[in-house]
Amino acid sequence: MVISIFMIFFFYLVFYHNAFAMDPVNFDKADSLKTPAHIYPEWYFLWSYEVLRGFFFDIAGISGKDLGLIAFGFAQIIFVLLPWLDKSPMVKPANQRPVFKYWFWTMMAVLFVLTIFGKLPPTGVNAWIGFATSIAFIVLFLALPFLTKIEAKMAGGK
Amino acid sequence: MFFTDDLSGINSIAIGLIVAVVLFVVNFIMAKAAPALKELRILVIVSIMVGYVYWGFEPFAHHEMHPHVAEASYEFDGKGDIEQLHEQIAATNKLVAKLEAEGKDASTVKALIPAIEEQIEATKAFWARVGEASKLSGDATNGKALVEANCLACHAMEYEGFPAMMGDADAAATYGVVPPDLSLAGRIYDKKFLAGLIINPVKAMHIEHKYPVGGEKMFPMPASDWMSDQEIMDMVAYLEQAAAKVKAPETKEGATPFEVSKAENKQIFEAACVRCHAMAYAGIEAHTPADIMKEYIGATPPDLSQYIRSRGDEFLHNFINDPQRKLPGTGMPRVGLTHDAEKQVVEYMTQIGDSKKEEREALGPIVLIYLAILAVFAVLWKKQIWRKLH
Repeated sequence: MVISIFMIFFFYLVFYHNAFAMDPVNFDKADSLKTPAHIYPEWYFLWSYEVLRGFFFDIAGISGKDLGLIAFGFAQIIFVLLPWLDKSPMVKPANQRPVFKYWFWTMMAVLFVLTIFGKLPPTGVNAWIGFATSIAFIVLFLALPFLTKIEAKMAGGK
Repeated sequence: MFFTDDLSGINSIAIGLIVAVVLFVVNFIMAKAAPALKELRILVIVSIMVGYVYWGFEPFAHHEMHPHVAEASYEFDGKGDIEQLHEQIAATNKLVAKLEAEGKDASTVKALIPAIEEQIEATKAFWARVGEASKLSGDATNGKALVEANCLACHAMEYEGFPAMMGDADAAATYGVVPPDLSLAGRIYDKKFLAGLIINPVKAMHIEHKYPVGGEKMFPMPASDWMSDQEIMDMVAYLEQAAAKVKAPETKEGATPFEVSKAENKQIFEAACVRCHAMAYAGIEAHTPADIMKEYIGATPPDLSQYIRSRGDEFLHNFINDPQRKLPGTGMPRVGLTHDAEKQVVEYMTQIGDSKKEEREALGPIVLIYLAILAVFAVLWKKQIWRKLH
């Protein structure tokens, strides 16, 4: 039922607005002597791209580029390690877990912001928002084991 | 939107907060009103979220990266040109202030301003003359004699029986670009623009940055500002009369309306664009060879086959109307097309670059009706299956 309702919307886009899924830049003839003004990856990589370029200044002698690369590597691998970061024995849908649900929605918000700012030119305030959100992304994952521990205690206490 | 332009990226977060509130409200209302339709609720919520992210990295990012410019104007009164010069002065002043704040010498930058101010006055005077001249009604017979004496040494007028003096390659080598055939000029170009073009082509086409007064390079077509306004309007009247005689291209018998309109649009497109631009998907080659073009304007004009997709309808209209507005410094002149001719050009680009559009849009309703019926059956079917449990 849901699929057929979604299909109506989807085929409306296909027939009347099929440009929605196509980046206009891809219809320009490639020219090795001309770099487009703004370069960005496909939309589904924008969040990790923003983590990569979120660190635009050096910290403690490590260049911003290296920091970005480290953060980027972290962002790629950390999702795979999710089962081990989750220390709560609770087997429930995320929305019924008292602490995890907040973590989940915060993570969603962070990914939204990273995705949107991943395409914007990284200048001025945009760069700082990118940096802050990248930090938030990392902190969220680092905090996950502790948050789920608290959740496990709460569940055990019941 | 909410904040000033400098903070514009923040707007997406502000909108995101609003979206989050909307999500909560929608979720709450739907959960109370129709608790059985949980899947539909999930679909609605996911759609709102996807819609927000999509807006963020598509229309919003586009808006940030390609700032909005003034709408295309078909008045040909030079307002846009003067506005842009004022913007130049403002930008120069800003730079001067910045340099001075940094304690640097700003005198060379400051010295640029009087020249721009002078240009504003000249531009105002030019368009005022064009406006005055265009009020006169021209005499086509006199215009014919004037056009023959003044224009046809370089320009052709095939339909009037004046073929081109030389082939495209020779003409391009001689003038830098192939001079256009004037057969359709009176139809595709705006009357005021044509008058302005005869008086001073560089000003009318808005390419003073390529051909500054007293500059090294001379525009191949000389200004005819020595002519009287009446004479100029006579020539315009003749061009209009001649263009009216040009027949629509013939199409083979039994041609579909699509093919007929495509042929008509092609005629206009060829007259307006093909001197410089190619369109490989339609088998059209530019009249002026690419290497000569590069020497002429400093860049190879792009093939237009896919420009309806890579630039889109709105951009093309704005760009053709005044290229400087979208791409300051470009060598492409203002084309001066009337709104109708411009629409035909863009329509032709759609017919070539998105050739299945009509077919696709004709098929659309059938598929959508089919899916709507399917959805009704799907709902009924689901109800029947779950009837015993709910």
